[in-house]
Amino acid sequence: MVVVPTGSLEWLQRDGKDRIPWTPLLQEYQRLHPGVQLQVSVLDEAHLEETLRRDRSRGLGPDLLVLRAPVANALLQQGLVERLDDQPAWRRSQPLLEPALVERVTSAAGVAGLPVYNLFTLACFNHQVVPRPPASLDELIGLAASSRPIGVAVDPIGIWWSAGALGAQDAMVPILTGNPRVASTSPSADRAALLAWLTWLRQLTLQSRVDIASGPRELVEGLESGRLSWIPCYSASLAHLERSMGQRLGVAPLPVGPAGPPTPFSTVMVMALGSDSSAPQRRLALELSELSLDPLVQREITLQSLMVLPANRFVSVPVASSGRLAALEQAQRQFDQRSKLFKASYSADRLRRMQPLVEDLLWKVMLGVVTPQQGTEALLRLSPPS
Amino acid sequence: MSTFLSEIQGWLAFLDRLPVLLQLLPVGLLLLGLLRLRRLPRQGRWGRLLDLPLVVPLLVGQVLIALVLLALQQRVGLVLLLGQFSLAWLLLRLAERQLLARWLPPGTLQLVSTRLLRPLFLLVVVLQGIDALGSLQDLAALPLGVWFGGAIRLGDLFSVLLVLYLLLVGLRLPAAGVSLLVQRGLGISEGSRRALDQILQYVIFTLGVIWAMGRLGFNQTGVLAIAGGLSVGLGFGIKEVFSNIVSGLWLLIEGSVRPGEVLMHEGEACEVRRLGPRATTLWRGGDNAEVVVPNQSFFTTATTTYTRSDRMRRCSLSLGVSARWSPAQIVTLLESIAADHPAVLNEPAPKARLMEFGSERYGYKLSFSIADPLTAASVTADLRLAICRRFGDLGMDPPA
Repeated sequence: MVVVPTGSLEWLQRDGKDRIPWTPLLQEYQRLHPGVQLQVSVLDEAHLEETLRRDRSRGLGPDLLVLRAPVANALLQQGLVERLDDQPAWRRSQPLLEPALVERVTSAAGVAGLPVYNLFTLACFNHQVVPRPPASLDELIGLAASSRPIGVAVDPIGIWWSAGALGAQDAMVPILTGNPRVASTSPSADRAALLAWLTWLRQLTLQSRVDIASGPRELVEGLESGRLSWIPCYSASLAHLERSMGQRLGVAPLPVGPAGPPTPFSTVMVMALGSDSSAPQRRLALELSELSLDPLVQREITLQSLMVLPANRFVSVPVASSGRLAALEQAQRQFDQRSKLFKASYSADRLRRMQPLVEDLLWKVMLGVVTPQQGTEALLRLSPPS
Repeated sequence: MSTFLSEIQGWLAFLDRLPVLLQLLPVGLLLLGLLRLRRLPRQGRWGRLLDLPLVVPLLVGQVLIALVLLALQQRVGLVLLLGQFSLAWLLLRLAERQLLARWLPPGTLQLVSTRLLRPLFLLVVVLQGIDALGSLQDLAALPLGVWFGGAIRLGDLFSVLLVLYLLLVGLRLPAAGVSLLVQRGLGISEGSRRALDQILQYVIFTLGVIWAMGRLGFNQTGVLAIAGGLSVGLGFGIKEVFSNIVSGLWLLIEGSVRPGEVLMHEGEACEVRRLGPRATTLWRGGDNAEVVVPNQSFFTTATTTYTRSDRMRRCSLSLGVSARWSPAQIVTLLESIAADHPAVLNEPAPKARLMEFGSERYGYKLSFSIADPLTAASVTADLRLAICRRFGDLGMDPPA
């Protein structure tokens, strides 16, 4: 089995303890199949295609891959993983999944993988410095103004959540995905929403206690070291943060803005079938993937890790007993209601091409290299022709 | 360790796959066939082909297997990987024979080849093999526990050991190069150059060990505490080894015994070949033997050297000549015989002396100087032969 962590988060996965979400699944599988040797490897997402092509040419590809849904979709289109929808296991598992989740792993080439759990962007903070986390964007600026350093970054985890809170997500979806603009919005409304978002970003970074990090790793290390007191964090990093911060770690939903709740980033981790397996290896891989949706395993994955939400819609999450699970569930609600960006089907190539351009522009606006107005016009120029 | 073993065990599962077997089986059979062929007696024109290095037909066979598999639309990546290893080995052999053999003396080439190039090749093959079968990064991240306050991972330990090994075996050439440059620049003696060579190797290796401890995150206080405790045990247990190491360092710094010097050991002139950390290697010309002497013995006993201030050696031989001949004539004759030998120096000049009287024979001693102390025995033998020959020519009794 090969685990492919999200882009810039592979450093978290190199530490064996951060494979916690998989531990209950692997334990249960070993209990059921004591004679089967499970070998778990971690691959970098950046070199995944190249590695899989090389392994495929040798016949040494993995039996099962655990990776993000869009990456699985892209691999299926290139023939590097096998489609799942012609397997009986998929027909048995599909009713356990929300249709929206199924949609995220389905493309013209077929179903790329079986969703297992979801990860979300949350707010992580130092309890000793920030007793009550900011509930709104104004409170967040107030926190920075009160000499408590906060960190943001221009990547999807670090700042894009604020686009929804300021009403800019409808304008950003066509820019990033290449899909046509939402019919209910107008170009002038898009311009105004983008300007409001960029103006807030500029206003935020005018505070001397706001640190613009290069990515999630720098944010997490800043919080661990005490240099930062509040950061947007990916739920995958919670186990790592808890080990280093202990009781000091606080977790909350992201702050809301004048246009409503934030639009957290979400990742569905799926299990995709490798294309080199022998018949017995394929059978075992399918058994393992099917077992991952077992209600008991899903509950254990959720409760033991406290950083993911189950993909099986019939598994209830005990939010009353855990503030962290409550924050995760609220993030999922916000995502389901608001995050059009990552729910829409889109071209992975365009997203890969546009993301650095948009991040560079946001960086320039936040540093004052260009004004929010100039940034708005530059973003609109990246929109697909209507 | 159990994780490491289970990782290796997991690789065997690849043999369950038909594309893997289709690649490995032909290459394995080819290798076995070639090994059997090499045992056959070489006969006729085709027999010469068996003299080719094994890797040549192996590489050709691998290319043919890859072409056949491609024609059958099968995977060939594994065969190509094995072919890369064969090609790299062939290139390494060619580089050793055609390139390095021109620049390096045979002894040095042997050392560079067996201790540096070939182990490095083997290492690259093993690492590439592991990377092909599993994940090298995952293996490198395997925790080995906490040593001296540092959390050690397999990759860290491996990289540190590799660097130390490379320092140990790969330092000779660079250190020799630097010491040669210093010799040319400052005009130091050959002995000093060799001493500098050794000291450079020790200093750089010591720096490497310090770097390694830092890289592994060893707590220096912990290391010092344990070193303090160990030193008591070492003092009793292997004090001779430490005594030799300290003696060797001291000899190097003091310069009393340096590589290239000629000294007397157990009555024979020997040249110092290498001053190692524990022992000194001497070359004895008489029987072309290398004598390994613990450093401590030079440190605690008197040593006769012929090369401390210059390399000249004063030698002598004694002989008895019949009393019938005039001593003055014999003295002149002996001095002229010595002066005729090309290895005997004119200055200081050979000197013959009448040493004792006897009823039938008088005793003489011939002293002479040579430039190379290691040739003393052969020059002395030459002179004995020349004396016998000249005495015979003059109709004199042979000397005794």
